[in-house]
Amino acid sequence: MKKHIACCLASIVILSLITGCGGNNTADPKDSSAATEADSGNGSAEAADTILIGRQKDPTDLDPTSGNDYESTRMYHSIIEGLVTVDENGELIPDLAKEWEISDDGLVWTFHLIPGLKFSDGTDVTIDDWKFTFDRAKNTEESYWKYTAENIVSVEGDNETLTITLENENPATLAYLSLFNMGVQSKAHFEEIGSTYDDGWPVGCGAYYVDEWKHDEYVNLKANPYYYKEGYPKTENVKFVTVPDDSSRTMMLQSGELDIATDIPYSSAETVDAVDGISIVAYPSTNCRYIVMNGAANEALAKTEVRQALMLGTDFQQIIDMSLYGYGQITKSYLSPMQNSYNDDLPDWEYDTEKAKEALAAAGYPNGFDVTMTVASGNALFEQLGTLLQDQWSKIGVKVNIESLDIAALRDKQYNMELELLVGSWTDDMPDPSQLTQYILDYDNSYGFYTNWKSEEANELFAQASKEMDDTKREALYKEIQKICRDEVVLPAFFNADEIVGQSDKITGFSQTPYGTYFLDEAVKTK
Amino acid sequence: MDVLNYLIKRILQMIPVFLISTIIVFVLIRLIPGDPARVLLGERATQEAIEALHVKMGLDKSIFEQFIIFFRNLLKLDFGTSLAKKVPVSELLKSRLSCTALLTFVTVMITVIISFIFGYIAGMKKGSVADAIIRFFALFGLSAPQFWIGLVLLDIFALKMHLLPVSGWGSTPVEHLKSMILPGITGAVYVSGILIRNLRSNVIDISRADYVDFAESKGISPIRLSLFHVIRNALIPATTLLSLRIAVMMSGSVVLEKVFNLPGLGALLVDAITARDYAVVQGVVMMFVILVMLINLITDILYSILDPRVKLQ
Repeated sequence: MKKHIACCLASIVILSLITGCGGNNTADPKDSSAATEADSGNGSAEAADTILIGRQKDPTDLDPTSGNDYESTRMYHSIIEGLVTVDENGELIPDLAKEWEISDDGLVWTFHLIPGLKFSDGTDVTIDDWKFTFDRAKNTEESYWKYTAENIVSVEGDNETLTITLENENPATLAYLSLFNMGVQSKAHFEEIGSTYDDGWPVGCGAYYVDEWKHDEYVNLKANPYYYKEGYPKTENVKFVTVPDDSSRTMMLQSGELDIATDIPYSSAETVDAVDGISIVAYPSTNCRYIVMNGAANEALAKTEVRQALMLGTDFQQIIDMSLYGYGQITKSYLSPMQNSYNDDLPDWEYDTEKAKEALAAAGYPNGFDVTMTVASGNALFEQLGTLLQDQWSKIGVKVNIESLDIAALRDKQYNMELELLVGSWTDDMPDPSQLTQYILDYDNSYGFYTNWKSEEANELFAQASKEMDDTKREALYKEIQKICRDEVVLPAFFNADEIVGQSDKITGFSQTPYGTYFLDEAVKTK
Repeated sequence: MDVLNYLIKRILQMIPVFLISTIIVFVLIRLIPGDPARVLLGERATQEAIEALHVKMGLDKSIFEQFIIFFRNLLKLDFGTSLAKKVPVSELLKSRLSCTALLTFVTVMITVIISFIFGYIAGMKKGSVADAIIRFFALFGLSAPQFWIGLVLLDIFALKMHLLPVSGWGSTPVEHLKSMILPGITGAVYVSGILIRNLRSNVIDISRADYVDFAESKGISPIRLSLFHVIRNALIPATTLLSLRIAVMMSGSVVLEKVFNLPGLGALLVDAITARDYAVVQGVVMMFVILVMLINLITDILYSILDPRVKLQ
């Protein structure tokens, strides 16, 4: 008995010694993070040296040609920069190219580059690197972004001037060039690591370079010593930490173990904001979630009149209030209001349950009908959207059954057009309405964004818009397309959401574009 | 000699079990709906890109062909590459295994201390207030949901008192150990619930046994009595229980890993299944099978050491 007590005491002593040893570090979590960064070359344990950003998922791919998920695409700009980029309002601005000229036929673009550009490993940026980059962008078979480079015929020039020759005139050219797969990457590095970025990453001219990537734990970025903007970036290290659990991530923000936390659930926004020293910041975004109604799987949904009736029975403001807690807005078209050529002239959505019931009866469904909504299991927001729709549409006689499916099985069924009603997601990656429009109109690949809708008229307008170099005329064409989609009720959006980020009040200078890209250059954490 | 023969026999028995389970998992994971290329490329993937990715992942071949390639690589001890993360599966398994192993170790240490002490006290002082209190806490530990206990501990010790990290497992060995304390306690609370009750009833039965009375009447000191006669024999069924619980813990506690953000095997498996990452699912399941078989083997040997009446056959 006494021996047991002795053992017990001994273990307690050992445990407290271990806790005590680290006690000084954890009492001030900022110091412990700086301590692990001890090799960063900065001897003092200054908190301002590292910014910790917590996110829900790990990036899947740091290769800008094949990365497709949001966590990956948002990071590329920090390590790779290209000819042009997008500012925090979503406007195209020059980046590595100071200025450019376009030939009369619109096919030859000459870019004048900032002189003396170097990669983050100190090597010079040469014309070979640019050629390599565009070649990879155009010819990687499994790249979803391939289409943005297909119009490029040749890339010539020297280290200060780049001449790009296109096959056809394309008004979206600059928007395409702002995309991350067009950001110059070091050819030598690519060849050195074995000609594949699998498990690796590119070397570029961005404000940071990738120092370490521990899968599912963190990606550590270090300041690029050869960055062309003098005095930037302001913070030496930025570490993206992967914390899948929402409560853990929020707790880490509150305890100071994270300086910034993204993917804060909207329902937690108020609680997090109320904590001393932490604020919720809302960033406008092109992020939209759609009511995808598949006419192929449910014959009622195939009728435009029925869809119009359903919209009369949908209270979009209530959806925004209840699911986003106000952090979002209604969009009148399939494009978000943040995107170029958004058609603001479209009428507001009407909410009138009596009219809805009449319209349903006129369409041949006086007693309503049944429809099954499929959501990905575990997605709390989508489940909530389903419940809201179920409640709202029950008032007009439409019965929504909600089924949960694991994401892989859901995607399969979605692609086979077996799902009747689902939530569609989209965030634009470039300042051009063509990205989303093209996807919806590409029936062979997206089946009308899984609604089974197609329209010859819309396709013709789109073909015209793809060649129209005059901005005003092009905008008018896109507004036409949006009007058609609105009249035929294709892809009405639940909302256009703001992205909310939890930030420590010690952080200044952090922002993100409406396409999700992080701006880290000016981010500073004061002590 | 006997032990050696026994070992060889057991290891030979493991081989068909391993092979059959490997084949079953290989086929099953490919039969359920879901396409890893489509999951990886997301909603807006073009058919072209998906087919190109299929070729890259080796999924354009028949299941039979895929299995041949897989098996040939397995014989070379090459477990393939993760479809989602593009790193070798063996690398993923190694790092995740060390995290889960450390968590299991810490949990077991805490469990042993809590349950062996309190199980013994409850048994020896059967019917007393101490016994009732201990039994109450054992029941509580058994019934309370782990994620709730974990979050409460996090709230008190990490958030409010800043004693321990909220999440993650850190980068240095000391940080690793510190980050295991709260999840270790959370896991230990549950396992102790089981072990305390088991130890208590063992101790009760044994202390009533004839040989204990006889030893006592021979004049053996109380310390020697409890150590060699009661404890030693009470340990036997408890050790077996604990070994089986270790096998379960080594397969990864998904709940604890998610709540405390630990990069362990449980989270790896769940994520791999969600992403239909065939290579990783295969690798993790194969490892579980081997681990469980090994732990069972060690348990049996341990049992024969602790209880001389049991002979290895």
